[in-house]
Amino acid sequence: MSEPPLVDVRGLSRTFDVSKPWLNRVLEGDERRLLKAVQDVSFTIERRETFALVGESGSGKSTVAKMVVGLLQPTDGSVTIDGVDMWKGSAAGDIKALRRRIQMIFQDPYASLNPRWRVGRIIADPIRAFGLAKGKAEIEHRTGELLRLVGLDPLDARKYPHEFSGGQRQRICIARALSSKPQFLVCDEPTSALDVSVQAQILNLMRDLQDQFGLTYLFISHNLAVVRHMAARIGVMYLGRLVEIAPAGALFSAPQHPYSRMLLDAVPDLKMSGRPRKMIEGEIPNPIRPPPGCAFHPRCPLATDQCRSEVPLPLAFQGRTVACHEAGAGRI
Amino acid sequence: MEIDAGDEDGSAAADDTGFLARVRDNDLLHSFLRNRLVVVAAAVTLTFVLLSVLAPWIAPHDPYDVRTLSLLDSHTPPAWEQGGDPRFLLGTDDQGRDILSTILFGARISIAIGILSVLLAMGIGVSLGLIAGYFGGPADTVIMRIADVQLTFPAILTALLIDGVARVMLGAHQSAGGEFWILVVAIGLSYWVQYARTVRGVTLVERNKEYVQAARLIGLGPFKIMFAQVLPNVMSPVLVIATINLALAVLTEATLSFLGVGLPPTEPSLGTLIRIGNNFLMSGEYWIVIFPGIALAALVLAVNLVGDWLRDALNPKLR
Repeated sequence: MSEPPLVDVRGLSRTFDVSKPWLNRVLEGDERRLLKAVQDVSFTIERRETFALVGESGSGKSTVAKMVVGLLQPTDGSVTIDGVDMWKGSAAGDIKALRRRIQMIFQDPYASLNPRWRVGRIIADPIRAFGLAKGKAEIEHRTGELLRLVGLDPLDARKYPHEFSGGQRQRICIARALSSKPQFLVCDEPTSALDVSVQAQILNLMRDLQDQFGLTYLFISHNLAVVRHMAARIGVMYLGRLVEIAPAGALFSAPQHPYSRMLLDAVPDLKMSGRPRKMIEGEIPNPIRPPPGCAFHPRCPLATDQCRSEVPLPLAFQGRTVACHEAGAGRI
Repeated sequence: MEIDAGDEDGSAAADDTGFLARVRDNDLLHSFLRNRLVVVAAAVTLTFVLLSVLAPWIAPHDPYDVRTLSLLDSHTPPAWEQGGDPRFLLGTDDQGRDILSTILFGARISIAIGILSVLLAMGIGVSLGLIAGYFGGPADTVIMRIADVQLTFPAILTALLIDGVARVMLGAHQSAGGEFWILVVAIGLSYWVQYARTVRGVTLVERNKEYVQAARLIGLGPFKIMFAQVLPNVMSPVLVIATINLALAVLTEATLSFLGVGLPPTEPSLGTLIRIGNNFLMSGEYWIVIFPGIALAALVLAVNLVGDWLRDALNPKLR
């Protein structure tokens, strides 16, 4: 297939200034403090593919998501979606057309719906913003269609969000995301706030919709089981960097980065195969003062002197990309 | 408000979320009916509003119509006292105006100034609070520092200052209704701070919620998000402040008028009446000051009680 990838993220970085106010810095002689939330992240997502980002809390997954959808300006790097650069050198009209084709599903279904708006108005908001339907009747018809599509009743449009359960709310969020007929959906931990029994329903709904509308997903999660169910390719993030990108099957059967290995070893083994389950050791370091060299070296069982001084670059390796000095040395 | 526009058609009552069902299940209504004091206070407030709106039709005399006044009627005591005149139930003032009628007309002016100045303060305060909270940064700093500075002055002093400046500026071409609007602006400008601070606080929380991000995602501008998305979520504390503020505004107007910088004696508000009556208190003509005073106290107390109840009822932590 010669079609270019839908999403092309290159060298994406974001630094937050978390210093104290100017006067405090002057009086207390403090330095400026910068938090490098995301550093040099590059990946592509093919059309109709699900690409997942996994990692612990604070690894920068959500920051990447916000930059990809255009909510947060990157410090460096580019996000190109369908040939349009999201942040630099694109005409305003192109950006506006692009916004219609990107939507997001948020983590907290209780905070992502305006509590004072009726569901119908919430779902119709993108339709109105992009002028996709004219007149009250047409908008109402479209809203009803969307509600039915996500398994709710068209009459639910008259209710307020607090009348729904978490899973139903997430369905409403999905309906809102689909209302502008997007191509690309960014899902930021869409099921982590839901009951386990409801998670599967929502995930299956998302897969069905992907097949039906040819959607492309960027799926963010810390739940490896969920990611395995959804994604074709997976990127593992650690402290703002992508340490490994691999096809889902390959990653789960033979992780090539020691951090990926550690995450997989920590997954509870439901098949009772007797595989010993290892606890995750240590905690994610303070991102304001990251360790020198490979950020993972304080927790890495294979760390060498090289790891403590040099940042490993991502290298293509057996159909995947791995950022580790020891990758391929047969020790993982 | 615009929030429900378009969704409120006749068939809404068909399902469980219909208007009648919502009224029936409303916690606020239950809490209201359970609280006798508040019901009485609300009734008093409503009576005052009705009486003042209907004043031109129900008042026995028109205190503004100089032709009907007679100095011979001046200083008449209330009807039940010796020398009282049944035409003037609560007596007359120094110009022969019926006290009952002037109270009705005075309450009308007091309430009008109160409501208009509260609306002005609310408009300014809510807008600035939304801007400060939503944009943050320099806009926030500038607005909130101005608010802090204004907060260090008592509201009555601010109102006096604005009133004085306005009078000097408009002095040359002051029209008949000039004082009325000067008072509205002076009182409105002295009470915006409380709204701004409250709204800013709530906005700081709301702007980080995901529904605001969802609105930014589809390219809506900041003002559209502030007023359509965030505003409905900050309205309940604003309503509480507005109610309590109404009592304060009426009181401030009365104070300004009592001090002589408010409405002129020809167009008396409750405060002006009390000031006029004050001059005759020592000569035993108590009715000129007492009855407008009772009216003012009752009005302010009633509005305050409703406001206090609303604050408690809308605060989920106190339920």
